Amino acid sequence: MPAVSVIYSAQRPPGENRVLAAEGTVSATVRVNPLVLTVSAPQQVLIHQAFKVEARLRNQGETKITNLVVTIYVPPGLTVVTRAERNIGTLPSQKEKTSGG
Amino acid sequence: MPGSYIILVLASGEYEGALIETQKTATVQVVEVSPWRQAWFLFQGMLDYCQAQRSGQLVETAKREYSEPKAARTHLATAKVLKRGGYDWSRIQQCIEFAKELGVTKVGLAVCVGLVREGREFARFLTRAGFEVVSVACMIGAVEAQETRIPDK
Repeated sequence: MPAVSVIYSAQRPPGENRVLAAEGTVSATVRVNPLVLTVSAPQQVLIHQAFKVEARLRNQGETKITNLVVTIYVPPGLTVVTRAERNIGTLPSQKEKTSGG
Repeated sequence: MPGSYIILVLASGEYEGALIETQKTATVQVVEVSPWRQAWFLFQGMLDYCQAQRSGQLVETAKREYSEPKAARTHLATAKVLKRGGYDWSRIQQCIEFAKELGVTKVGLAVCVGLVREGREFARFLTRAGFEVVSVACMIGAVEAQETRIPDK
């Protein structure tokens, strides 16, 4: 993963004669989220009729993703007829899984 | 309730010891339509057993006919009525609005004698909507079957 360096400095506080200055470097590792989520649902549905929402998960990382859980939240007016939360488990590197309901 | 709904999907897990999370939304439009419209909505296309499957070329020809000036005018008026009233309007209101869209002042009404009372009521609606109504029933002229060489048996 790439490392990012940040240089910071401190300046004189307001109302003080002393000159304060400091400089340093902070290193941080930037990680790109390896979990890619794609959601598909019908654009238009009939009232009182069930429809399917599909979540496609892809691990674009170099190692596996564990304890993977998918949760669907619907606003008042809609009801989840299957399970709102699904335990996917482990998603190996560069693999894809689909969860629908 | 009909309307637009936003569904949120959240996926979370652990990657190299760190908690990761991703979320996405999807918008769904919930609509309420009449039962026969529902049937159309469910199928959305030509059924396998539709007789038109056997005459695809004829269907294509029919589609082109819609572009002919006379048919296009009628077709557009129909589409405008459906756009404004959807399928909530009664057939009577649809007919009145359709005639208005076409800009006609005189409406012809042909009814079966079996529905002559209903036809009369319909004519009243049309008259109240400002149209001049000219009506005819199927038994006009009172021609007997025997007068057209049908044996009296």
